[in-house]
Amino acid sequence: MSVPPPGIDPAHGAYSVPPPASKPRTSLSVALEQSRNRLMVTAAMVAVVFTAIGVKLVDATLFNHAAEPRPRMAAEVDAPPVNRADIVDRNGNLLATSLATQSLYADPKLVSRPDEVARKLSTALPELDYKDLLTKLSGDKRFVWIKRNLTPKQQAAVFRLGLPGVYFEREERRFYPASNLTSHLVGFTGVDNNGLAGLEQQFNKRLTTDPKPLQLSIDLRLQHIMKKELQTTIEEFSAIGAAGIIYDVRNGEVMSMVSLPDFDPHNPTGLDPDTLFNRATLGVYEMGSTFKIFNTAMSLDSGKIRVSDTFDTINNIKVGRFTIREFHAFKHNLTVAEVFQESSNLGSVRMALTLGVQHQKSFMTKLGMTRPTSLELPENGWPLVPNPWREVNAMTISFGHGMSVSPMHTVNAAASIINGGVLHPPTLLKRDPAVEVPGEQVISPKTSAMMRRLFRFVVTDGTAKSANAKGYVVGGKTGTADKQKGRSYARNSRMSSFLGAFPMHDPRYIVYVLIDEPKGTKKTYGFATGGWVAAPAVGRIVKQIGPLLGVQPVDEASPDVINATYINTAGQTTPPAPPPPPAQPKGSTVASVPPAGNKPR
Amino acid sequence: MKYKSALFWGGLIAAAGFVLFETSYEVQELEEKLGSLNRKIMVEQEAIQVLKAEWSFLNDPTRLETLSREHLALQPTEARQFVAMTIVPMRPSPTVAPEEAPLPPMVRNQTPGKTPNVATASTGDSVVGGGAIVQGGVQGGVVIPASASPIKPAPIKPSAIVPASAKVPPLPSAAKSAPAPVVTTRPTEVATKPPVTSRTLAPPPAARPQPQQAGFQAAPPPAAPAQHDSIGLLVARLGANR
Repeated sequence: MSVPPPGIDPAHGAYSVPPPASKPRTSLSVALEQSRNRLMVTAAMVAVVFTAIGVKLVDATLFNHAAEPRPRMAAEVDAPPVNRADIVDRNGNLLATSLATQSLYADPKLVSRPDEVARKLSTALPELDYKDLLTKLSGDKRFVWIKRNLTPKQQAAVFRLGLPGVYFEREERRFYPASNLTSHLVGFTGVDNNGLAGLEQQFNKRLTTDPKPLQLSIDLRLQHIMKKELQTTIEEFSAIGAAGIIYDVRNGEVMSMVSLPDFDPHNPTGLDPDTLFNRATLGVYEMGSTFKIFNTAMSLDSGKIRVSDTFDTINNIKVGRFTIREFHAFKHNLTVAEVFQESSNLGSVRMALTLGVQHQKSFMTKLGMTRPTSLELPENGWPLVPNPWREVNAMTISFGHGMSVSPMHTVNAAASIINGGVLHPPTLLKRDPAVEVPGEQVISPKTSAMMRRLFRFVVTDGTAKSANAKGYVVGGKTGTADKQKGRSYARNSRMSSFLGAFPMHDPRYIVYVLIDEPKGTKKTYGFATGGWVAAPAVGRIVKQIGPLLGVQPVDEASPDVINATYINTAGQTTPPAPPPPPAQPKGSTVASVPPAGNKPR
Repeated sequence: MKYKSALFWGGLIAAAGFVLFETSYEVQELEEKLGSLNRKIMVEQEAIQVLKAEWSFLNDPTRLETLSREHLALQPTEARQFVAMTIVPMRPSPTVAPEEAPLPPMVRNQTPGKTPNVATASTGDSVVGGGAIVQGGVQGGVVIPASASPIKPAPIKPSAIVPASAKVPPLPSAAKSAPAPVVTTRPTEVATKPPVTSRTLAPPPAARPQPQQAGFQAAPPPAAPAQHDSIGLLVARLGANR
């Protein structure tokens, strides 16, 4: 628009009235202006809204954002159709899996004749109670569960009734094919498929997010053998419980872990809490003489005590009102080798006192005895450690009293004592062979080699001769601890255990057996100590698992094995006698070929 | 002119619309098909899951042990049943061919005419002497552990011991009633074969009339493992070494 020249007002030219005269017209023009503005605002708003609608329309039609998502992908073939991943053992056998089932629920508002529906349902599903069902169906809720996890047969029966207001919902149910065999390890889930115990609880998140099966280090076959032998032992000695562990000393994998009594993971509620209790990891016990493994290793590793040193094992030690004495009194002083072989309490105490309280405390801490193990179970017991750690504690700990640890602690620490001195964290998951096993050097390889000889010595000439399994060079240490009942030790209730390892010239596996409150039998002359109760069980287990684990049996009399495992009571490690006549071919083998023509005996 | 162009455009729009609708219906149909296929896959997968669970349930070691005790005459493998490869005797060269070769110890009920013509260095004495014990060895068999363990022991595989050229043809059916000499449990993919593990299993094997056992007769597979005298020798020696 062109600006009019100054002085001329084209609009008001006709009037050319001074400002006061325009007053009557001002209200009109203001009203006009106002309505025009209003019109403008309305138009603008309408324009904005229509533009928005237009843009959205273009977006929706051309770019297809608003369309409902369509299943354009084929279902994944390998993915399991369930929300919770399987748990399998080291060979791929199922230990826990989820199965889809149908659950029955009702909407009482839509049930027209509750009494009839209730009657029909209770005939189709006889385990349902008619009265209970009737109150459920005549309630005011919009949703009531009638029965969860029906079998296909039951589902068909309910289907056939054709009841209105009664519906099915797909649910999942956890199923444990191995049942009791792995109940303490795998644990169980609740009705809503949340893990409530064991690995199900520990790996709840992992199992619900990653559909890949969770592979354990457990071997189902070993688990079976372990359970069978523990059961036999419990029955033989009328014990109240038992725990057993098979452990790979080279990488810390737990290959079998059994705690008896066990339970059915499908129905864990309402059971005696004792059956749910995992003795192998949650239970902490005074271990008794198996602790002499650590006491001896500590002494030898310090460099201050040699295996041939002699300690006073005749005079009892008096501490306050206690007297420390031997299980069987010895008539002479013993060397360190004999202290281990004969399981001498006095010798162990004097060895510990030579090194001092602090040394023992730091050594036990280094072995992981003062904290829960790194095992992946929620049921992981805290050790009971003396506080403060006084001299009297050091004395009792040297032979396994006054400090309580779980069997898992004992096995894990003992593995580091014989495997060359490396403490690996124990695990229930199968280790990836490509990843290096974490570990920490706790004792020197030299001490470890000496401890292997001592282990073997206990089985060849010591308290655990019955643990021998010919061809597998078993070694170990027995343990018998009186159980604390209240404030004193009970005479007749004890924990008998044996920690065995094989083959001792090159240790691969530890087999640990702990029997809770065994009673002596006629066959054992009334004894219920580790050597009588647990050691034979370990021997039987080793015989059965040796072939399964691929351990090659060797001739125990062959020079290779003898050289690697020999020790005598004086602590000498060189075998004295010349090797037997070389009638046999070289190499460590079990069978020998008789000369041709000779009649075999 | 204007009319023609309008007709052209109208026709084009109609054609495009037709094609669009056709395609749309086609897609809809395919989607329905996909949906139903996916549902079927789900059903199948659930069925597979159930079968897997059932398979594991049936392969429970406890159950297998009971079954094997009832139907098989197998015993747990003992340490003496394993030998190193170095000790396995090589087959003697077939230059000497005695016509009356003694039977391999585990081959019973076999007509002499059908005896494999095999040279052997063993005397009759050793075979007979070993015979009673051989049955023990036969019973347990040389079991290759069905495990996925990293290090395998040197197991005794007939095929490994004997060069392929030296293999004896499989036994005729007349020998079927004889127990299979070397029982090899093959490693299965999911190695659930637990060991036959029972100490209470059986009376001493020699005391049993082996071939008459019904369960045992059903046991040998139709294709009997290659039988060979060197294995017989070996087993005899294993037995003799006890």
